Amino acid sequence: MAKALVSLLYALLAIALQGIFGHLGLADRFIPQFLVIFVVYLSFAEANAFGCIMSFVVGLLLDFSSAVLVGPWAGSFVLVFCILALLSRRLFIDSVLAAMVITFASVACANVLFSLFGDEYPVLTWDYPQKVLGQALSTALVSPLIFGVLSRRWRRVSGAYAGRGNSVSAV
Amino acid sequence: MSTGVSERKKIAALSFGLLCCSLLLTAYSARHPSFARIGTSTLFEIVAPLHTAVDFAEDSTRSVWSGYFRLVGVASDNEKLRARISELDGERGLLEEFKRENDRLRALLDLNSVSQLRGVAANVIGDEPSGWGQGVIVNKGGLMGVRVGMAVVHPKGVVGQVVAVSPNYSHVLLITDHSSGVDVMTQDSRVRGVVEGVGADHCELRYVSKQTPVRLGDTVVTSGMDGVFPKGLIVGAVSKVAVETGTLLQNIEVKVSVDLDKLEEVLIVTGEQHQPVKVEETQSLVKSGKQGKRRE
Repeated sequence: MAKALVSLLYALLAIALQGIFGHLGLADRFIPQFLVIFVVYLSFAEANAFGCIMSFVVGLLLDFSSAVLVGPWAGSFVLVFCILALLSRRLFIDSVLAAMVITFASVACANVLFSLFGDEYPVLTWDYPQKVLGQALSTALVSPLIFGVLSRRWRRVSGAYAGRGNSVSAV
Repeated sequence: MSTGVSERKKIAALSFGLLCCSLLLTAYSARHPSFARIGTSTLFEIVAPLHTAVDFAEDSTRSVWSGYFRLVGVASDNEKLRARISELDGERGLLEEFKRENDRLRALLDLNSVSQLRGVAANVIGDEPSGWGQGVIVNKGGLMGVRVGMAVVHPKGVVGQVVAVSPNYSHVLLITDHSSGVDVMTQDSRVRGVVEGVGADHCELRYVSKQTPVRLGDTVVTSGMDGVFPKGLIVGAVSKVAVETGTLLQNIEVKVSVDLDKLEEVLIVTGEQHQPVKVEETQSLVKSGKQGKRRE
């Protein structure tokens, strides 16, 4: 229950931050996708049913924030979570570089899946890869910091760290 | 090992189920747009106060900057401003004359009503969070009479449409969003079409046949036929016209007149105010016009 509440709070804060960055003049293509960082974190720290459901829920929240379609972000987050959770025994984000690379790939993947899931964004334009890669890069750059914060909070909520061993603790 | 495998199977099965659920939700919300607004209203009430706080902090910082640091050289600025005020006073008088002349001409042209937009002014406090849609959050909602579907405008032209409303905030879908469409016509040649967003800083004018003449720089205005935007509001200007072989329609790009990246205040149109011109007033204007001509 506590974990679910923390997850929801983080998701709401992330949605607010993403909106604020846009309002402050940061170009769309450089706004970090804090929610994807959270999904990546969940796939390593909570590679179970809870993590899967929370990925879906935070995706739904992002969908609701756009007020147009409900489902595309939820679907793409669930897929990203599923892929990472299934690979989490082979992947480790115990170094800053590894965390950045995995986040970069996850954001790019989530953005492409979002476009496939019903968004009508014109994918055959030069703007599209710029946006996908730009967001992936900016998110990857901030991800080690967010992983660090999340890791501490999560451990506090869990009482003792009960995630997937050493995979996220070092970041 | 078996526990790990069963856990992975469980995750895969659950993910598949949730994925199907997402697809169903997407399909349903595409057919029923009101469904997407169910959670939006609550979400705004939670998230938007943070936006307001940041907006306030930004304004405060700006006012501190302008109120303190810019005091240097304030005397020379003061003199310049005084000169500017007297200059503007002159211009204002001239504009007032133009406005009156315009009113008289409208009456002479047998316009039986003068339309003015009635609306609620709102501040933009946040952007669409995902960065993939083109939308903004404004600080006026249902309590101020804002409803879903209302047009949102700016002195320079059309901004977008309200798509979700909470008691204190609203979500405005900008005309540049790819799911936005506005019925328009070109101001000079009266060619009709639909301006659709493409997700960037410009739009495309669609459904205009090759035979119809559209020139670069043509002003595009709302036609009023979509029942959302009042007629005659400026949308933008034609910035590119391309005719491809093998198609019946033209590819027309429209540069939006409002700088949507620097949007601060907007007007949510709640209705059109009609002020009928009295018959006596029109007659007296016609009379005075005739007298003026005789004098000449």
